[in-house]
Amino acid sequence: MTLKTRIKICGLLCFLPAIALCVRLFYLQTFRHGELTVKAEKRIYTQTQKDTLRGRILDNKGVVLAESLRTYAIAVTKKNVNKKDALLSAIADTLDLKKQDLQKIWADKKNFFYVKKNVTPMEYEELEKRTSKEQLTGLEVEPEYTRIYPFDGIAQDIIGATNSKNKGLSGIELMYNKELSEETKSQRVKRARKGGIIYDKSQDFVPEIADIYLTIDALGQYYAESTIKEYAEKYKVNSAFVIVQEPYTGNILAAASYPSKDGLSLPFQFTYEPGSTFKTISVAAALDSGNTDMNSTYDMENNKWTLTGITIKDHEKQKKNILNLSEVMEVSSNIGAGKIAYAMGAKTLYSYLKKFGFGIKSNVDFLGESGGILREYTRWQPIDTAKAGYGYTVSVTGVQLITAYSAIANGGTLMQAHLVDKIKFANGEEKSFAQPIKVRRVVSAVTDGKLKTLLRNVVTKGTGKPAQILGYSVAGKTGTTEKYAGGGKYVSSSHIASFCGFVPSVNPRFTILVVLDQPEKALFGTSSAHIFAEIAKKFLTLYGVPPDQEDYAS
Amino acid sequence: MKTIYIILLAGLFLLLLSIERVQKEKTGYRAASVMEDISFKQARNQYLRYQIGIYKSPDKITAAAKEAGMFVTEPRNLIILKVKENDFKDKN
Repeated sequence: MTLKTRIKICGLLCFLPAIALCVRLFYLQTFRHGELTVKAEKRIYTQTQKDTLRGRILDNKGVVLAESLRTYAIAVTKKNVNKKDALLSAIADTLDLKKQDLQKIWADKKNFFYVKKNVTPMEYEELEKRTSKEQLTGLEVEPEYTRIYPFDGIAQDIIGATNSKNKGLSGIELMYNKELSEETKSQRVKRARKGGIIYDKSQDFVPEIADIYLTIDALGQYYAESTIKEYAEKYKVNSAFVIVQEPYTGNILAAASYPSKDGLSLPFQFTYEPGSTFKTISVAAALDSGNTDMNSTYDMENNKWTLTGITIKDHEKQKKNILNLSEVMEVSSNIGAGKIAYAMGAKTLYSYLKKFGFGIKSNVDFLGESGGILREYTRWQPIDTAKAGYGYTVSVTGVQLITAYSAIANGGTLMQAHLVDKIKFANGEEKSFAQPIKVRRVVSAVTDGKLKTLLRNVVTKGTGKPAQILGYSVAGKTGTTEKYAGGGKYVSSSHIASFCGFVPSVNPRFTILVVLDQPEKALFGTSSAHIFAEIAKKFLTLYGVPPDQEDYAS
Repeated sequence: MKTIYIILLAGLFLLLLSIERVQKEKTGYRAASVMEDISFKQARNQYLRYQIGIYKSPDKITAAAKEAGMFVTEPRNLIILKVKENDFKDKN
């Protein structure tokens, strides 16, 4: 064998492994490509769940009413545990659990089991430090969240509830679920050899959740809730609610229900016959349409006014048989209001009731809002027209009535009621809702001035005296309604007592409606008037409204 | 000789490239740890704020104030040092 041949053989031998390697590579890349790619993918990458905390619900000043808190679910995978006893001790010590209980679960479960859910960040930190220090393995941590209500859980009936899967179930949580939450996103990330992940720019993302700002004033809401609860328990009512509105903007500052239930807000959902508080509306219609005047007088018919065979009575016989318009309102005469409505006629009254916003939803932005009941005037009997004059045969919601009173308070313009102030998105973008929106003018400024005088007289001379506040002029109207029992009959022992008014009567800052459903101990609107004064005083103090009467020094 | 230089340069380039890639992974790992830490600290901060919020809740403050003999004053007792012009202006 020549040297040349030997060199050729050596060269060939040297190339053989390279050729074999190429063949192998070709085989792996071509025939086992799919299988190996999956293997490599599993080793290098992992999927993480990118979940975003649910958006917050705040009041009009930015006080957090509801937010989600990051918590952790701690679990154990038995097959990964290196020091069983030490791990169970660490868990028991840091998570306030009994080691014996943990040992029992350990014995019962095959491999994986949860130790504790809703673990606070502090507890988790302590556990993490301990496991790192003692080099313990086998612990699994799953991030989760809990919905919390930092401001004593106020406005719970408006806010509503969420489930453990971050979904809104009722109230604002349900209505704005799309804005408050976003679907959990799965993300492909590079896995590090010693655990954890390797950051990559592609992992950056801007969450699409938003915060919802309500028009509610948290502190005012607290006062409204605590006051209505106190009196509801005192008067042993079936239910009660209070609603406070800014008359010039239509913004709802407080809406409290008793009893309070998630997503069930009585001011927007409870419908009732408003009774005498509705006389303000029928008198407004009559004054504005020229069917009555401040000098008009009404015969009380010795407390028995018969219309189409049906007798209408006042609660008690009036001291005088002839009352002027102001006196009709002051003593809250059903006969007087009935006569005013009847003289005005069904069509005119109906058109004003529509203008004031009755019979349709106020679009206040609350799920399940009721529109009340206002039948077509063509279906009214003459007695229905008279009864509508003092708040029977029509059914209203609190928000409808208070918005109508706010129209009187602000000079005669019906404003759109608002409950949601704005939505603030994570990218800084804002969508505002609570811009003052004038719906329509319902009565002229002249009529409005007369109405304010009448309502002021109710508080200074009439049934609304308990609503008086030293130093402030109050205007409002009491209401006591017998509850409808069906079949055209009313229960004389079952009442709805209410008061609706505004303060101060000149340049009003707050319109407040108080409704007590079936009070056992307080039958008449005067008790509601007293609650009105209590709540109004809190709001006047809270907003620093200066007195407008000179009696404040007394 | 020229070929050897080219091979050496290519080798150096590949070495630097691999160092850079390793550094990138290391930094990415550190960044992920820092981000996890931030997220954890945010959660802890939020929890602390929540606990402070509980103590600042109106119910707790009202109860404590009551114990100390304090109450919300009648609005007429307020001394308003600065009155906004709009408070007296007829908005009608």
